[in-house]
Amino acid sequence: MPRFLGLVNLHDSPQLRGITETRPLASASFLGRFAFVDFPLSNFSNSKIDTIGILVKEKPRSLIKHIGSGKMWNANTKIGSLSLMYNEKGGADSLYNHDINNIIENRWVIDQADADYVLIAPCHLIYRLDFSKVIHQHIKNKSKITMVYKTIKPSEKNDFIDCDCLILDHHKHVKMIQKNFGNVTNTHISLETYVISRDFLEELFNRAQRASGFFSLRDILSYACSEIEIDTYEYEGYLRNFNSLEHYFKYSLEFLKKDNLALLDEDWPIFTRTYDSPPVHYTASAKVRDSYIANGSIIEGKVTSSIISRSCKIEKGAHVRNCIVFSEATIKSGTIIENCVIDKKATIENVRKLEGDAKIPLYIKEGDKI
Amino acid sequence: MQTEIVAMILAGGKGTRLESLTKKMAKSAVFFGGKYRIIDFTMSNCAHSGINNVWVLTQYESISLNNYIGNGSHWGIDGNRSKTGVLTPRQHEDGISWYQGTADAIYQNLEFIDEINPKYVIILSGDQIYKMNYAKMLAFHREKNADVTIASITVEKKDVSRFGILKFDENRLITAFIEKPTASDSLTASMGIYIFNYDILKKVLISNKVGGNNNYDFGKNIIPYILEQKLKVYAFPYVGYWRDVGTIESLWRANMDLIDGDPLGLYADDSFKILSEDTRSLPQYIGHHALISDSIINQGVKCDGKVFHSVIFTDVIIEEGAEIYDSVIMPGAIIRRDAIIHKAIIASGVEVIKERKINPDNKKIVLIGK
Repeated sequence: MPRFLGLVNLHDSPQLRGITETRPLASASFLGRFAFVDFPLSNFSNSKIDTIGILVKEKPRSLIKHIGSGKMWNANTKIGSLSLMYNEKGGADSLYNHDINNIIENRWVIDQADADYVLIAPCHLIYRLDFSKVIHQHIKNKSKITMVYKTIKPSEKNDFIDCDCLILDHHKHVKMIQKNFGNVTNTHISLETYVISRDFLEELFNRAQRASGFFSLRDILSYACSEIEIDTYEYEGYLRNFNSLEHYFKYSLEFLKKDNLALLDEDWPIFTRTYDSPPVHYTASAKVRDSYIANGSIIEGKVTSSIISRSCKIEKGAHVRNCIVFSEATIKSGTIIENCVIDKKATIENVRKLEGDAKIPLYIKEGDKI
Repeated sequence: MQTEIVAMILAGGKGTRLESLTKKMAKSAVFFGGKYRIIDFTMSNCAHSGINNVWVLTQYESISLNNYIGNGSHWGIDGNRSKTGVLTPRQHEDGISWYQGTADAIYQNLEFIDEINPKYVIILSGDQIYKMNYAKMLAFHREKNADVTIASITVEKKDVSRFGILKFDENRLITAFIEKPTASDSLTASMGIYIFNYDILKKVLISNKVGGNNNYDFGKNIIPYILEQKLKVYAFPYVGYWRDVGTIESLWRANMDLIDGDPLGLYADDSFKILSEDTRSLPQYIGHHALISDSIINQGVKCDGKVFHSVIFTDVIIEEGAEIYDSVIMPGAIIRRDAIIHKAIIASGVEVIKERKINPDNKKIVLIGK
């Protein structure tokens, strides 16, 4: 049986304004119940990959809290393991703090796993992928590296700005990698997800270090793709690029339309840390529709087309419309909020109305009182 | 170091009056309050009271309950200073011996308790719904230098015939115990929760053992005996919500209590959470046609119907046009389009078909089992 190591790569995580001021995207709230990192971890777990590392770039506190023992993803049992990997040496210097240096610095994780194949997945590109299918193809084709991509509609190009676009030859090998500035002609978007044979990983790293000490995995693959044979695997499912606050807002609220749940179903559980909060309590004055509400919350007011996270309080006479409210926030009586992202433990109290743009939400900081 | 205290939780009962709810399930495993099972309360009490040696005595339909108890991880009683397990009746040299009553269940496990050799044993029921810090009861027990301490609660005059009633002096030293009197001056009832000095418990259980197939109970045999023997038995006063839900009516009522207030402090007290199993549910989704008021709804629920004054458990589906009034809908039940339910308990996994009317005359509580 070949052995696998799954790595969640947080080095390319984007900043989502205030949301990522105190935490990495990995531990930011998703649909009021999950964190972003739950998705790559659950993809691994559901693909029966129990030896996992997380390539941490910065702000580890809230991520460490979320991961805990790692038991939720079946990774820290006596069979599996979960390691947080941080580049001690290069961590302080942003130019050297990239994924390749992190993996080299923490090489023992690969050695200990004695992995034959290393799988790498980001956490800002959200998708539902059965890795066993990619692995199967990778082994069958005797590939060195397999890149996962999705063919998007030309109209979706602007949703994937800054992503890698793959130009393929007739063998479906990568000929060239372009960064998408909205002007690319082809539409094969890289999921920044790779299956790499271990020997080749070493070779790739050597090549990168020879070319430039600043080179990340994405850099070396773009740089060297014409000289190495990069195999591809086409994915056709839910894919969103959570690379800005606007996208975060748009793609989260998208889930409120009933038919938009291609990501979530019982056959592919999303494992997460839970808090043993009591069920949601709706009082007599509550009015809720088209919304996700997380446990521990008390709803006395009106909630429309919104996502309410754990242990929030929406008071009587308050109206929350088209908003994402993070955990433990309070919306006091008499306030109306619309098109807002309210961060953790914030209180909206002394304003009649807070309104953001339907496309560009108003962001209220963690713990703020308005 | 000697183990301070061991908890023995009696959870072997069938709960006959809960009808089909306990057809395939022990009473302690019955669902309660939108996300819990009844035994979560006693287990959480142990966890929050610092009791870390917890043994659950199961008998009736023990497999599912044993699985649920597991190693105590749902309640965090599985750390390096704690131990949780189940004790089921077992075969001995001279054949199999079922637990014949509450005292017999403990009696049959004396050799096991001997191995732990604790200073105190607390005897609990797995069938009760309440929050209690047993550490306070133990402090009381020590302070009184008691042989035995019985937790007690004040009940209403009309209810005395359902309880074992205690009489005690100004030091709370118990002078009399009357099992289910028709009338009584004292309104202090035994909760069936006892702390024994272990050496005394052992002596009493052995010397008082009744032979044959007779029931051997704490209420019927042990408590009268220790009072007769003039042991120092004290009544610890408990104040707060406490229910032993023996019937469909009382189970329904206790669920409704959670809506009408927060008698258990589920929302008010974050430091004493009722801990439970983690379900891999999706976030709770409230649809476009939903109308919800005065209700408690757990994660995993998809609701597009109308819910009034009801408790909705994990993963229940309520379709458009369905109406639910004053009801308890247990995990995984499906309420189809335009079904109308009044004052009912819908058991776990039941599907209520389209347009079905349940309990339209809205009088007695009905149970819809599988």
